[in-house]
Amino acid sequence: MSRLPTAEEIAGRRRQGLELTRVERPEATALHVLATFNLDLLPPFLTEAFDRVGRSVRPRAGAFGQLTQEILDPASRLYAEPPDEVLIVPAAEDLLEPLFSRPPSQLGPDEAEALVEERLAELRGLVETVLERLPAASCYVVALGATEGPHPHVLDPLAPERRQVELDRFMRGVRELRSLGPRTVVIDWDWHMRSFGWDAVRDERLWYLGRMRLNPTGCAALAELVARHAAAYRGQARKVLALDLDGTVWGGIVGEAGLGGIEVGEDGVGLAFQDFQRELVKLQETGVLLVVCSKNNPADALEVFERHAGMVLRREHLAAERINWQDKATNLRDLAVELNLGLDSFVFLDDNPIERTWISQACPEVLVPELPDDAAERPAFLRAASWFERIEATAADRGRSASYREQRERRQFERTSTSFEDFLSSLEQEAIIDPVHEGSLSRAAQLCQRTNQFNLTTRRHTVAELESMSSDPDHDLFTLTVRDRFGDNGITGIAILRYAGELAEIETLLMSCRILGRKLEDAFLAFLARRAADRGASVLEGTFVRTAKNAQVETFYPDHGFERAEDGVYRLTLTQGAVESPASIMVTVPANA
Amino acid sequence: MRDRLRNVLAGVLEVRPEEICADMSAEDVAGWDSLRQLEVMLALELEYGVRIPADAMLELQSVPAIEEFLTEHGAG
Repeated sequence: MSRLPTAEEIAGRRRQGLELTRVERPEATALHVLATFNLDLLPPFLTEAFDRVGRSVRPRAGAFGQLTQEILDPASRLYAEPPDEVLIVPAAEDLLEPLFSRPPSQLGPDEAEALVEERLAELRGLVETVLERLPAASCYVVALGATEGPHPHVLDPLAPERRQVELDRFMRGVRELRSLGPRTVVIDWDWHMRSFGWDAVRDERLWYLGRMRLNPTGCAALAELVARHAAAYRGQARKVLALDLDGTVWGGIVGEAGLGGIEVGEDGVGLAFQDFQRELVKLQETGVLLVVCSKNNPADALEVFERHAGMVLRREHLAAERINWQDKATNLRDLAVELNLGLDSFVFLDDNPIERTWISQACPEVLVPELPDDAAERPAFLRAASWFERIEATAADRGRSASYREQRERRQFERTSTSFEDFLSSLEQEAIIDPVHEGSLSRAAQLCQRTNQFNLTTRRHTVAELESMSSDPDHDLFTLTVRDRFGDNGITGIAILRYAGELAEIETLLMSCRILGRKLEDAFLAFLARRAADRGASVLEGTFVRTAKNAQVETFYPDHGFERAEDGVYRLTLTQGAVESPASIMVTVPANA
Repeated sequence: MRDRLRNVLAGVLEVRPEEICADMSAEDVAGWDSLRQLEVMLALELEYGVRIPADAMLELQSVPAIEEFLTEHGAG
């Protein structure tokens, strides 16, 4: 968060939030707010901020100061109507009150440290209780931080009066609540608010009159931060950043100024372009695919990448390129096909407002931000943007670009193989099937949220839902990991089986487009059929739920021997070898499955 | 009563501006509770560019009291 909302924006957001509350929104889910202080000003801002990230929530503020009671009492309002999300906002001043009210002569460093540990353990216990009693909810914990220590007049940061050591330890402990599992998301307010500071977000009068630690500005900023985390938690981030070159990646026009005439380097505005490139590379490292979409002579542009000493962005960072004189909308559509992703995964950055307007009109699914005119503002602009925010970068995220590169090599290889069968066996494919476990939950949820094309039912399960299903004996959740001679594709498929007596239903079956057309879907389905039979089922059942994007799997079940019943459900009688596993794929299954 | 004040109060209290009358006080409006009282005060500060001290924030619980405060402070 780099900018606080203005007074007008705050008033407008509050009004918008209240208006949304008044209209009937059956899809809205409950968000329960628990704080150690009064946050009654927050709900309309939450409603509005979630609406902006495409979510509909009904926030309800618990009685302030009763965080502990509400969590511990099973009959409290928190559990009466189980919320989908719980927001916990503990202020250090409230939880560590003795640290602020008692001088070091009465509460020495050792006792202070013990107090911090004790309160942290209590807080951890409370979050655990919420996770346990609300097995489908996600829990956002705000690391709020203290406005200031008890003795700001003592300046040395390690002076015992300042209690800074203990407060730092407390903040670290709150951040470590993340280790409670994927359903716990820590929102680091203390870090995010460094750019604006406490003075802008508190009002002493509201504290004395209403026990409020955040003023409306603070509530608006907190709401926005929570909504951004919630969106990231649900995997709503964009995946591709499409870049113009002249004036965007470097200063000037290479076709006119030549290699030596463009701006990118260690000084002046050139450094701003270089820093902008550094931000691009950082995005690439966390899984964002960088692609070039520019109007240049390819030779001119590629020469910059290959020969300009100031370039930080290299060709190996790019997942695909379209450098030509075609219309950019056509190029973007082409790139979407090449990457097997929808245009709604794209963000397009171009310094030319005419190109931006054109893309907004021609490809309305593409997000087209207003790139600041001044190159000096752009690195910070990119840092503050929320389009690519995710809770954490999974191993699959980090390796994504590399896997697209490997994919290009596979295609080359395919062209040199004599037959398709030949090609498949020479790929030396290995399909590793594992039950979903804590380490794979967040990747599994990410795939459920993102996979559009090879997805039979398109059920957008969250981490919380997957976690609760994986602990239910009537469900089996599996991930598919694929390796071949070119590398590791990571987890690229998910299947969920639901058992009811003789029947096993394929609740979810999805695979990333990257690995399609290599018979891995046959191997995965064959495994599911075997697994269902082992669990005592005699019939395997699947449904195809049509969406705008999954036409390619419409005939998946009939193609694999399933019969379509009158109710539209596909059924397969499970006999020996009902689904054949392709000989070219080595399948590794877990010992217990 | 001035339209400007009427609009500020109506916005915060979530009622129509016509429902705000000249001698109205907090007891007359169902939603005018202690939370709304603070929100009314913050909205007045933004609208009129005045600073309302903490004690006045609790006391200005009626339209006449608010109008008097605003006049005294040269606002509106």
